[in-house]
Amino acid sequence: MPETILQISDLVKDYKTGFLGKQVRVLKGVSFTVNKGEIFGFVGPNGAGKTTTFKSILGFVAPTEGIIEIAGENLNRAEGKKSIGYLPENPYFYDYLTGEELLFYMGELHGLKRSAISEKARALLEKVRMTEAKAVQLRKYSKGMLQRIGIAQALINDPDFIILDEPMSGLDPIGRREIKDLILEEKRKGKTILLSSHMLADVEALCDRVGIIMEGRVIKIGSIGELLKEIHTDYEMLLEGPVEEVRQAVKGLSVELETKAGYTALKFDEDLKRRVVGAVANSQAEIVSLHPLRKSLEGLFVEEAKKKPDSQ
Amino acid sequence: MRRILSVAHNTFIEAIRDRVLYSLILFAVLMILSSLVFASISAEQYNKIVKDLGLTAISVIGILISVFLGIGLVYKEVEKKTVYNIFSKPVKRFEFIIGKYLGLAVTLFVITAGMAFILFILVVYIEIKYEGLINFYYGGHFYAEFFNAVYFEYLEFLVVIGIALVFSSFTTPVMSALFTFFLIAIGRFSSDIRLFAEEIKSPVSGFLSEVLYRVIPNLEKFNVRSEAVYGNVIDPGLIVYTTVYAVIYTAALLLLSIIIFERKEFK
Repeated sequence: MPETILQISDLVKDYKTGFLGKQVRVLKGVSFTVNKGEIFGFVGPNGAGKTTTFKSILGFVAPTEGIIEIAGENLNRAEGKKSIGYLPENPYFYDYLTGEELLFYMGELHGLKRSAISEKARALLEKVRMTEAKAVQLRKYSKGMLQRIGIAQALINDPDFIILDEPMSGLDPIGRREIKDLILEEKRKGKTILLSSHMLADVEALCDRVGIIMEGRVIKIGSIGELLKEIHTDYEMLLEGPVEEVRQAVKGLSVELETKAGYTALKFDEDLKRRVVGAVANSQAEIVSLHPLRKSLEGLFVEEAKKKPDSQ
Repeated sequence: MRRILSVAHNTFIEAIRDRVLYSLILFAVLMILSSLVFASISAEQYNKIVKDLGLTAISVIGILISVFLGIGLVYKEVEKKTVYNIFSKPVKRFEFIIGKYLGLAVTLFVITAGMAFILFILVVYIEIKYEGLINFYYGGHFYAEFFNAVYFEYLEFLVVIGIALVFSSFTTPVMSALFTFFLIAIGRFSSDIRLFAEEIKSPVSGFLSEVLYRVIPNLEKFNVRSEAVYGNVIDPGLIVYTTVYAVIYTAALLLLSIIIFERKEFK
């Protein structure tokens, strides 16, 4: 049985909005666990409740209902955060500080001595490729540079549990690759990582397990393999022949038709494979290829997003 | 304790790297130097004019800095969301409040000491200029009241920072500034308000003025400029009393800020 680092049970969060203080329920009973040593991806569309969940975990907002436990620690007590590292979404820092000064400040808030911070800061700045910019004030940093210094400050205390809210945001492909390598390195050291990201391909590549949140509820949790098994396989068929004839042949079937690289492309669910093949065979069009489309987390995500809320 | 000092250090750095601060300090220096012009008008009152104008400049600029930096102490961190970085670390809310206060208090100390030093040099220069060096040397000048007046001004700044910090914990800078200046005005005139209410002889106004007098710090207690200007000795008992008065009010204001901030959510 894996050791549980984070356990969230039935987390509910209401906010008061507007002049009359109308209650809006943002989290509607979120439950999931994160196991020691794994990378857990937390994905969902904008406004689904990812950041509110993270804020509830860190004690920035008080849950309306529900229980949050981290390795037995209560994160509403400051001391419980000694072995936590956190990167907020769109990192906000002190623009009058330099990158190095920021790391020293964050390290001191963890109770580290300056001599200890000095060596850690040097190593982290090198790791995130910010050594040359360490003496530049943060107000002059680009978004990507802020993201990299943000990750460095999240790791300054060598945390056991790392929470990253959109760690790839604002990074170019090289930067994203470096951060992915960094995250995997932390995992190899036995750290536990909880991350949220819109870049589903990155989540798929990095995460051991994924939780999908929609409209304040976690609708799916599992390993990538488990989740992808649930979605239907789509097929793609490429055809040569007049487009109109193909369109007439598959009329009445739930098929997407488009032109692709000079061919007519049909996309359909695997349940329709026989009927589509049969329909096309009766036409003048010639089948060039027929292959399953790769299942992806993005596909699952889009599929779930199309579902009505009542069915979740 | 270390975390409080870290927050204080960062607050101090923020203040001294704020360009608005230098504009205010420059204004203070100009005000102090302008006293030279007025001093030349009246040869007999030269040193009194320089001291009076100079101490007034320190008071005005110190209050302005206390208010304008104080109202943003907490608000800016919440608005710019730098609180996420602070409170994802093992920092208690009261450590943050005390650290922010301490940082600005140290900033005001440095600025007040700097302005007082400039004024002191100016006062000595003026007195040497008008009395001549030998008369100045044997004249027996007492500057204790001058430094006591500066110390009292600094105590007032500490209380004003506390007031600004309370409002900064829950409202916008504009409202914080309005409320803080309103309380400074009442604090400066609370004795007069009480006397005025006694003249009206209305139970309601009497009650209200008594509440204001008791609750809001009487900032006139920190004004000993006339003693400094006329060289009147300030009783050591008064210095102790005023210090304790400032400490009690500052502690109460800090406690109020902590209570308000403990309940705050960072959305």
